[in-house]
Amino acid sequence: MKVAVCVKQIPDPALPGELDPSTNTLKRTDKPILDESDSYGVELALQLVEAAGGGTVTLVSMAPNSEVAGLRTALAMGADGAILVSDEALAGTDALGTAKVLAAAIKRAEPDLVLAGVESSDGYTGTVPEQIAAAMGIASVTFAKKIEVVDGGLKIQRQTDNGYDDVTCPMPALVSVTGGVVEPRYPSFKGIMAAKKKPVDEVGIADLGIDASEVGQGGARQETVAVVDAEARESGEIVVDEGEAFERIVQYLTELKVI
Amino acid sequence: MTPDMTAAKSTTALAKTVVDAAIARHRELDDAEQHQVMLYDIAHAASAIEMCRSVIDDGKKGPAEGALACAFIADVVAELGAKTIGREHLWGIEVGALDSAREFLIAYRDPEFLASLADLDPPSHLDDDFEMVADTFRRFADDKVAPAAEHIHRTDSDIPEELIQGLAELGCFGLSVPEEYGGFATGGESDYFGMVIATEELSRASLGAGGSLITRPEILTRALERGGTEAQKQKWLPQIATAETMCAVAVTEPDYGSDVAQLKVTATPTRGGWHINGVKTWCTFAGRANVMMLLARTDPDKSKGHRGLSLFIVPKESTAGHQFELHQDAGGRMEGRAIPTIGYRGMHSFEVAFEDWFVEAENLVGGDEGLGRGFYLQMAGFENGRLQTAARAVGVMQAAFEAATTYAADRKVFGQPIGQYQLTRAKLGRMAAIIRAARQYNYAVAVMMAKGGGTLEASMVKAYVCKAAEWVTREAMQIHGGFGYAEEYPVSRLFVDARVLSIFEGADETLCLKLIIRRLLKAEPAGEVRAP
Ligand SMILES: Cc1cc2nc3c(=O)[nH]c(=O)nc-3n(C[C@H](O)[C@H](O)[C@H](O)COP(=O)(O)OP(=O)(O)OC[C@H]3O[C@@H](n4cnc5c(N)ncnc54)[C@H](O)[C@@H]3O)c2cc1C
Repeated sequence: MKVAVCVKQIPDPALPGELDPSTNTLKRTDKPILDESDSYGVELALQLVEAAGGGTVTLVSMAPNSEVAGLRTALAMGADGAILVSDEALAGTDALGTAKVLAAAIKRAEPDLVLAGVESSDGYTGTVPEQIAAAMGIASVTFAKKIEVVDGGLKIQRQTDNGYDDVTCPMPALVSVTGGVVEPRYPSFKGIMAAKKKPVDEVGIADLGIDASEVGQGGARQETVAVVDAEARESGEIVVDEGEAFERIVQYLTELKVI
Repeated sequence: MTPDMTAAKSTTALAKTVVDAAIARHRELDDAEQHQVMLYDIAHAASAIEMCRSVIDDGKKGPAEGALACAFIADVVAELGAKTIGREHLWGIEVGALDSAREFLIAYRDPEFLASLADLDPPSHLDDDFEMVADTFRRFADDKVAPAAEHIHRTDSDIPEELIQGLAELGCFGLSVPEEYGGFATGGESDYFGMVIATEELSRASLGAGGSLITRPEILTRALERGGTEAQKQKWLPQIATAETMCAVAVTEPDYGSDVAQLKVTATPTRGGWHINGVKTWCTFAGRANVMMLLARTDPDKSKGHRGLSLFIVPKESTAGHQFELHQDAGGRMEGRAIPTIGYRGMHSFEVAFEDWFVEAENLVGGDEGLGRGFYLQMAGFENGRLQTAARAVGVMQAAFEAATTYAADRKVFGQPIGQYQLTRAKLGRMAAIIRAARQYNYAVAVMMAKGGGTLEASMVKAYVCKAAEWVTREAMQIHGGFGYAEEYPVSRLFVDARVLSIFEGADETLCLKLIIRRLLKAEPAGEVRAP
């Protein structure tokens, strides 16, 4: 079984991030890390290949400056190789452009299944996976919490507000994976030492047959027009307990319709 | 101020001449061993100066690295001054022998300079692979070990099996096992790096339930590598690497700890193997372990001393809790009882009594050739153990430093966070300098050991760093004030845990007097301790 996993390499959220005021996009200077949202896809892919008794897990990532630091983590977890799209022309690419690029890159891996996170932790558009599926012309299932291969197709538990739906779908397909549904493994010492030797196939947009006008700032159909600070949280109400505080709390919870 | 690494180097060289003079003087004395106070001081000073020499390289990597290196060197030289003053004649030096270091000390012992170090956080300079090893073990330690650490400490409970399993999956027990035996050591220069880094990160979360899980496998691995038969290596090393076999080390006895040559527990030949009789004590992890690495007297002639000792791998059933009693069909008995301790909890350290406990002949380490070589083999094992213990100490110090820094930033006293007072900042600065130097020297010794050397240096780093950990955890606790004494704050655990580091794996005094100084006195001046 061949699984491709989209992984984003993002600035470490533990470090203070900064926006480029001219483009309203995140500055990407420090060594990136593997987006945690994507680590679940990597784990599921590894599990699926193990369950299938063999196959490959190929990572697909688009990142500036030939960055591989985040890919290394996923390779150390056990992925077999990676396709990295890095091209100066990609700076400022919007979600749709990203999806087109990733779709073209993923095709090179000829996967039976493509996994992606529901949304990235630094961009949050939440649209890229479905756009990839559309660009590739394959089925797409969102918000998966469990994926099984049954009779040559996929059986998926798709998370909903009330629980989950059982969904089946043929392969190849793209499935977006909800964060937290599995515990991503830690890279093992052996995996870390092996990661450097694993193939990372770096390609530019020309290799993918994509024209520079379709991507980058120029090709973007989406623009961040303004960035505003989040509203400061209002201070809460302090209830001083003089024996009857519970009444106010019950009333408050009733207003919230939680009881 | 740009740190003056040239002056750092010449100051270190000057300090080394003082230590060399003392070594030379004691080499001439017929009764050198009687001068224990001097020998102990010289051993510690020599160890500290070796650390200075290795931290100079790190200091050249950047201004923050340089500042920390200079602070450490100035500190070491000042302590050397304190050791020598009034005893110059015993050191074999002139009064004022360290005077030309004064300029350097004025600059780098300056309280404001020390205080300025508190916030420095220079990069590790590890390569990408080892950076990821550090990240991974830190993550595992934060996610899995730290949340369990307090509970284990407060209730003296067992190490959760998930923790051992998780560490095994990371490959933690095979770090020094050669590749051909299922581990990850490739015979290269960085073979011991993984062990040192993993140990430090795990010990940062817990000494008893983290970094110390690696100690025993490291000791047995090294002993087997040094003296095991091919069949023994084939059998045991892969099992150690996967944690299928967890081990305990049974050397110490109630009457003999430091004086290993006098051990009394006997192994007497019987059909197909040996019978073990006697009592071992302080055998850490003896309950959970599946095997013990046991040192016993195989030659009844006591006058043979350490040459009458042999090393055994003693299989046993793994048990939970604080005591166990095991029986063999043929009548052998093994009974263990955990000794309650103030810290270092989780693995439990047992007193273990053996009564005709049968061990198969094939478990005599080294086979027939191993007879009488047990002392050397366990010593070899402890070489790894000492480097590993120094790495444990660095982890504990790092945890204490972080706890102190966080607390000092939050806690206001007399209208100001204590972290803004000069005295607190200078303490934190000194901690940072010591921790950095200790870590760098660990890395340096790891490389020496991978190249087949580093025996003396492993003892040196163990002696210095374990003692330093007491000061660091003490000050970290002090910065916490009353809360530092509350069990609720992990820093109280760090303090009691740190205390054991200078006792086990060679008590500090024994290490200094029987190992470090003997080697120094024996070595020719240009030998084991090289000139800078
Ligand atoms: C928590 C813990 C875990 C341990 N785990 C293990 C284990 O797993 N396996 C194992 O075999 N052992 C273990 N030990 C034992 C440890 O290695 C010994 O405690 C240590 O070797 C010291 O031996 P001792 O306790 O018999 O002290 P002693 O040998 O009685 O020495 C007491 C003190 O005397 C001083 N001293 C010693 N020699 C000299 C000298 N020549 N001149 C002057 N002063 C001297 C030192 O200060 C020393 O601390 C453990 C100990 C502790 C506390």
